[in-house]
Amino acid sequence: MLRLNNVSVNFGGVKALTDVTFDVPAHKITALIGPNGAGKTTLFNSITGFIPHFTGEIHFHNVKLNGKLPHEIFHIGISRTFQNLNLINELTLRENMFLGVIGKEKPPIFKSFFRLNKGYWKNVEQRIDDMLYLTGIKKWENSKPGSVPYGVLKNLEMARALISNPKILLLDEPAAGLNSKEKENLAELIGMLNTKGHTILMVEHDMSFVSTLSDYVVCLNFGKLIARGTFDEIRNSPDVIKAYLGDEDA
Amino acid sequence: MQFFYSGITSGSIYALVAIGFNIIYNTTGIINFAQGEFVMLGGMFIYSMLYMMNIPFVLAFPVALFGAFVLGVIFERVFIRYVKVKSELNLITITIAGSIILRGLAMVIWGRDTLLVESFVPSKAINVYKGTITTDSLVVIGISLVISFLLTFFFKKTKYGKAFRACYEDKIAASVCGINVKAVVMFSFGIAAFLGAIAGVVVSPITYVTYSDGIMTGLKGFSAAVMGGLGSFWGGIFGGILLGVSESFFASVFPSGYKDAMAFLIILFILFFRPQGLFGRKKATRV
Repeated sequence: MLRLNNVSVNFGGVKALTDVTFDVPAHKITALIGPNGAGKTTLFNSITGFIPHFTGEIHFHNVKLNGKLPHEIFHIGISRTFQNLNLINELTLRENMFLGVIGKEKPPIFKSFFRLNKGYWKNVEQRIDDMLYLTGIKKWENSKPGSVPYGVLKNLEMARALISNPKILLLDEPAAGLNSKEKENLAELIGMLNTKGHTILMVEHDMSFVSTLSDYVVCLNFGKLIARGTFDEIRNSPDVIKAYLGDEDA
Repeated sequence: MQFFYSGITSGSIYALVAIGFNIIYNTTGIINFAQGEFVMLGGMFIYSMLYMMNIPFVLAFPVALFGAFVLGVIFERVFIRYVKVKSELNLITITIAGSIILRGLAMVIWGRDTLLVESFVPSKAINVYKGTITTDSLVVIGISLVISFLLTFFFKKTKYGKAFRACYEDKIAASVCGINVKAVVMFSFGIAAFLGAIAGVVVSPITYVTYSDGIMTGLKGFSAAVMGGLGSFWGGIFGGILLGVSESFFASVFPSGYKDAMAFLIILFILFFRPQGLFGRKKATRV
């Protein structure tokens, strides 16, 4: 589904990614793990067009993503969330949701301005309601991001990504900053999305979260892919243990 | 009262220019100091079509506005899009450079003389409370109000308008929602130029047209936008009217040559005591 082939990224003299190659299979949850600075977010940014100057190739359903802009990649069917939230603080949670719809569906501006397509917008409102209920943030819909708990904002970002009905969802540290109850709810939500057929690639540090949810795990260290497989295979990999715990000599 | 009515007329023009500033500010966060030149170009375009090409007003008016829109889009493509480091300082400097270029081109094309444009509506003075107001002035005031209402409605109440605002607040968030931020910025420049041209056309029978009109009109419009609070359309309208009326009263007391200084005195006063403008809001940031 999503195929990365020898992807490398250099920032000046620093090699952030070196020849990373792996596939993300459809309808599965793939976790991308690695210590801080391993290049996980750089990889996300390369896939989603925020880092255009990578070498190698990224294909999604046989469409080459090299050189495409973030909004073009969104239209191909890749939606993402961010480690540090990117929400519009001036808009309510519900209005933030509309952005995902407008960006994806581009309803005619003239008709929308004069409210000539009321049926369409009624349907959109219903879909947004459904998504707000699904992600458990309905009761905050008219609040602005500055006044709701962090966990709600995390779910809002995911809901906004999902409203466009993406073919693959990229989640950048979805559990970071959440309390144990919120993590539990989030794991339940991600699991449910997966059973509905969503393909998910997520960066995550919380290993219990990764072990519960992921079908496959890819581990990066210093920008290189050091292991991939199921969680059980990965956790016994000497390279992964070394990356997280360091050398015995050290 | 007569000073008040004259002030409202010039204030309405400043308000239209201020709205142009606000549109670009609301979607890009930058100040387009070439906005005044689009006012001048609106006047030049209508003059050229009416008197050089003999095109009737009903056709010339939309063509002039469309021409300004296209020029605004080209301005963004040529001067803004390919700037490597898009810092506010760089972009503002570029808009100033762009304005100088547009002014220079206008001088070459239309010359240095003041060009006379006749009134578009039957010109007469209407008696109002303790004064008179001309039909030309009423056109200016009416158009300013209608445009302000439409734009405020678009940006505050429609979902597309909110998407435009989102581009300014967080370009990354907008682009991951599939919004083509570059296209929105380009469109904003087009609309701002379109508005500037409306101001230029409707004011041309009152002030006539000269290639250098854009500098002072632009600065006054900018002052009005800052007074009202950058980004606020009704703030821009209020700032424009306040500026126009203040100038008018100032000119009744002091020699009229000094009235331009009034705009800058007011802007200094506002910046000292309420830097976010009269209707501007301080931004809250989550830490």
